[in-house]
Amino acid sequence: MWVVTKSKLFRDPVHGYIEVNDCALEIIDSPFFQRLRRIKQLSFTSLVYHGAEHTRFGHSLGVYHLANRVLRMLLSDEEDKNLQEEFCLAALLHDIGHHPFSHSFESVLNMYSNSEVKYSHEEYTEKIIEKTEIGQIIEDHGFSKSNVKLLLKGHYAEKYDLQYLNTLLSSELDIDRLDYLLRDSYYCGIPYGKIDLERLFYNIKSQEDKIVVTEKGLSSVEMYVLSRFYMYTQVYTHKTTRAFDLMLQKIFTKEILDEINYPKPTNNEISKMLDFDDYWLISKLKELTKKEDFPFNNLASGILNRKPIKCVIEKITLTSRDTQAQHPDYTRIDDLRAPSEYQRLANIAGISEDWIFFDIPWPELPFSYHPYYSPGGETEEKSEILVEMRSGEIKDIALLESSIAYYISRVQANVIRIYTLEKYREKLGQTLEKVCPKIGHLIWKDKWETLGLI
Amino acid sequence: MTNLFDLLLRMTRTVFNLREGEILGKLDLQKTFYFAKELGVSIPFTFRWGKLGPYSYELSNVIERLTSHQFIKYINGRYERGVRHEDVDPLELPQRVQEGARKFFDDLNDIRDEKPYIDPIYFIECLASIHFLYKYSGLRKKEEVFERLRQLKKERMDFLEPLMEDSWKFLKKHDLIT
Repeated sequence: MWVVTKSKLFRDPVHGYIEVNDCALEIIDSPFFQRLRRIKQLSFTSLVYHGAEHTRFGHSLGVYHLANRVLRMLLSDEEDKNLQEEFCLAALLHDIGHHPFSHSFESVLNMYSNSEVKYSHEEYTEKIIEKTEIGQIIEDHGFSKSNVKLLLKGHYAEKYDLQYLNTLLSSELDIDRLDYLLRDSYYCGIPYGKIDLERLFYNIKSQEDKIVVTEKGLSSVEMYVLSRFYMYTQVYTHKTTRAFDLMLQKIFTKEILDEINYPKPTNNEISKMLDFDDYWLISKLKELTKKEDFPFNNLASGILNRKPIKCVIEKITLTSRDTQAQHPDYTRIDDLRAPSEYQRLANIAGISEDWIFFDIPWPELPFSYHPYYSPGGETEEKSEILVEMRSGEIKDIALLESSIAYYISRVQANVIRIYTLEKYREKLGQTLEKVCPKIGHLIWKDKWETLGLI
Repeated sequence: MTNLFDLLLRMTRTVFNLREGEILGKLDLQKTFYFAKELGVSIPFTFRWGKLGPYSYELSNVIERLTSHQFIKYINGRYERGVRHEDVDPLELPQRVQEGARKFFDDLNDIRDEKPYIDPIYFIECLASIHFLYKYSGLRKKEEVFERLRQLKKERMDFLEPLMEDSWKFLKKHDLIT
């Protein structure tokens, strides 16, 4: 039996039919939710995988659908009925505060966050629920917007047995990730993101305050862990997507941001967010290409016309979490990030520092393993993926030696790259070879004109 | 060029400075960052309610990355400054935030000398859990908060129960509860 009552169906390419109830439907029909149709899920990824044109709208519906499904497995229809509805609404609204171009523009804004103003999309989400018609719709249907906010932020702390609700929306194994891995791989045309969702859901259950997967569902969890690993390396940190992210960061200086007067997540400004979507950002970039005195107009036009900055050197490593030792080549490249080295590199190459871009992608890891330290020699394992063995024993998947997850959890993927404008690629490559010969073998020379390859 | 990764380094250095460079393990680390955020340091992570109180898995990921980056080191269950710690400057905090956070963490260090029966790790877990319940669950009375804590952390009560009164007083002293 579904949690939804009076309903409408949406046809979704990933999950099939998605049924929504009247409260959710009213939210979906509101301008703030419709705005999500105008925010791409993966920002610049469509410039690499052209199918990746999907939006936060579809993803939000998908997470709502998974919330309904997972609650059906964990709770009976009548149990905490209002709370169940509120959890599904929290799932539906979890991305309502996203910025144009999602995480790409959020990274730009985060550079200017401080004690007074925080630009994370979670801050905007909270304010939108609190201060716009969305909150009113929730209350009009007899639900509590405070509860929706609590569940959204993982702050639910009322009943011991339901504490797991905090991890269902955001943890190592959560419905947000389950949807975006499936959705992103579908739209990118990449088969690695496939997950056996049916098997996973039929083998999930609550155990006191925790969520566990039974041993029968182990393979489906492994599939999920592998999917995260591949999507991270193949899609989320793809070198060309990252190039466009770096270009955006360079373009949006403090001066440009001040000029835009971007809304802050405050009572007075939150309603202005309706005007800020991907179309707004594209228009802004168009405007900047025409601004003759703007030093980075070439980058703005590069984004619009798919002319990325070029990768000169790249090191991708898988390092052991046990030894915590970084690969020496990674460290050699990273050493060049020190301001004095950076300057030296630019001087020798004869190019402006503005055109040298270092990239260390946001350290989101494919899969984590976090042993807790407690006093008295007690070691408590903190993991959010627990498996109930046939014997009844509950084990952390990262400690299950018979599982592939055991091995994946022990390595960490690191990426470091240096980019420049296409016209300086050879110059910077030669300089890097001169300054640090030990990393010469990592320099991408295949496009150098002097090699006669183009 | 400043980028987001550098900002994470600066933020981490700021928090390590507040704890004078030593954090007693992963639990202590989580709760230290939690309080740094609550006291006004700009920390971009969301802390959710977990088994041991407020917890951010994003923070765990970042810290692990910074450890392999040699910015901090994790030895014998403790975090210390790593060889690359001096590569970046700490964040410039508003004076009010700097003073409030400094006083909070100094007092936390001192409490070990004043009250030797207090285990510092359990104490910070207790402080963070009480503060979280007070701030985010709408409970205002001490007894209500304590009762909720007893319900939610049944397995930890042997360690936490004796620390609850001291924790409440400590939080009051630092205006984290009124």
